[in-house]
Amino acid sequence: MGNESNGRTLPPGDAPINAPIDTPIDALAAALERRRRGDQDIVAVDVPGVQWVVFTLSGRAFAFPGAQVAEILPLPPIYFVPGCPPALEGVIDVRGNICSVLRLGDLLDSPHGPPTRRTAILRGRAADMESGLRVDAVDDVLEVAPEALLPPPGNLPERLQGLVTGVFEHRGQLVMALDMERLFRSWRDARL
Amino acid sequence: MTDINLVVFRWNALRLAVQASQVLALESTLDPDAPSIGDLLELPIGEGLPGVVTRAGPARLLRLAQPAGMLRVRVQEPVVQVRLPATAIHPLPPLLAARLRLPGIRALAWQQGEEPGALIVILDVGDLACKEPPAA
Repeated sequence: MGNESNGRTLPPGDAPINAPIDTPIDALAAALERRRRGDQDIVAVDVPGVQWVVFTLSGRAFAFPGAQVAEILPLPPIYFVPGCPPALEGVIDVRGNICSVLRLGDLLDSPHGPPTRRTAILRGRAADMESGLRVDAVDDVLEVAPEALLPPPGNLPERLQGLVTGVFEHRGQLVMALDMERLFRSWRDARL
Repeated sequence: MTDINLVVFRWNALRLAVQASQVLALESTLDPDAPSIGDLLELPIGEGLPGVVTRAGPARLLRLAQPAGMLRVRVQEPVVQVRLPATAIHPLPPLLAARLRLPGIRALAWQQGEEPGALIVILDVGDLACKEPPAA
């Protein structure tokens, strides 16, 4: 009885099974392997997509990278601290810790609407800085492929220049992508 | 964990505090020449929790110890001494501290079981202005 490999009967003393053999059978295996690699490549395109937290201020859509948003909180009681600029609304209790709350709309020249059930606090972290950011509503948390993120337009309002890192489209609306670290540094250095 | 003794008082809707060790005396006699804590912190009248209306309590006079002398300041009742665990006391959040215009604010604390207005703003007596000359 001879050895069988992939349906081909090998006579005794034939070449070892693991030797390279150029046959139509091997071509199929190679094609399948290429397909598998190809499938992996397709999957790999999705993996580097960056997660974004999309929110609105005065009906305008903005987003922060998900990596810079520690959590999304429903609007809690905000406690006033004297001596702060108006854009610093106060502090909140986050499981016994104290977190400042900035009115993001004031920082971006997009006045806040009245508080609603959708009003939220994004607790942001960047470069060893942390603060809550008040937003009118959180719309979505989604992944955006790098190629879908376009450069910021040249006609941005002055206040947004340097804070917007790009734009992408979501549900037919242009979303301005922000960088939390730039925002925090600008606030800390009194440039906002 | 060490507990911290504070003397807590009000100014309109704000709950303010100083370390108990810095309080020399509490007087009921009012001195119209003594500045109020609102004056020292340059607080606008009525500044407090937005949307919260509180009735100002009767005024009392606190004598506070400062390195260069004594400070007499008007505050509002209730004036109470509380002992808080150190874990309830927090440094100022960095982005708040970076833009704070008042030098006398040192820390913040939550007092459990008090709602609303559970936040206590802890003041540094040494940074409050308007010092009186040392006693001869």
